[in-house]
Amino acid sequence: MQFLATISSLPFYILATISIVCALGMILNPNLVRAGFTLIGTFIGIAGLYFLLNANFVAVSQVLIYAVGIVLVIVFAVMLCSLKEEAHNIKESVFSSKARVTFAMLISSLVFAVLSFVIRSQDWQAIAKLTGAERQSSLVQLVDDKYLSQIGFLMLNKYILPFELISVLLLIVLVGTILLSKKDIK
Amino acid sequence: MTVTLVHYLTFSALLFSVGLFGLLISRNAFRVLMSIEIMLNAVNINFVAFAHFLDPLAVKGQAFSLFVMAIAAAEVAIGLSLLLLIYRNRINIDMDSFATIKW
Repeated sequence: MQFLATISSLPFYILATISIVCALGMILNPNLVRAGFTLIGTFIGIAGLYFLLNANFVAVSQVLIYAVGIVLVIVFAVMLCSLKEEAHNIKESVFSSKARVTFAMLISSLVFAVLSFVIRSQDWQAIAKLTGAERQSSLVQLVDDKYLSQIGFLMLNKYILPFELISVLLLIVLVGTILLSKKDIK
Repeated sequence: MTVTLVHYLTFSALLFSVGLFGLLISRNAFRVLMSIEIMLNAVNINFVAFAHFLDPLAVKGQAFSLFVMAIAAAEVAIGLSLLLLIYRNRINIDMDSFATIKW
């Protein structure tokens, strides 16, 4: 039984390791285009975690929007800026200032320490009991294929205002991007 | 030892810290944008994990993570067009050189 539990938790650890390693590779890779493509590994790993969490639609959106859309746009923008002559400068600037790296390491590990302390100190079992998650999870098997319709229902009923605001925001972004990237702004 | 909510939250805290580290050490503005994407993803994992473990029937967290994705796409579009504009004007995307913008 112990062995079985270990095996079933293996996908989580593999996907988490892939995501973290790819994120670190993105930060430390001196080549910007390669760093952008390394980001795909992080996003694919996170999409796999979404599949483990029964969030199939979010996982597919993650692959479509992040791993393909956003990474491709970033990489194209990097290529447009033709940072070839700058590539060796970046290598120096990432690693040159020791104080900067030390400061960043200090701040980020402090944030991680505080976050993990807060996570550990919560009694999640009690909170799950409070929200009735255990009672609900016995019902989940019945509605396992209804997640997608549930999300659609939420978006057009309870979250109709943010849903509409997002569409307005996307329109504003569309117009703003065209305006910003026009050759001559008068 | 099965994977619980604590595992997912700790993983997302770790990913968030990695993104923060990248945000602080990188001087190239493109890398800063990518680090911000990683941090947004870490938050998204929290949403989906809470939806799975605490709210398995009405998956509100999944709907919220989709909103975060839309915001992230908008942020990247505006950020990249701003960077292209700055590049066109000064042929340099170093974060330190942006300090002159304030004058």
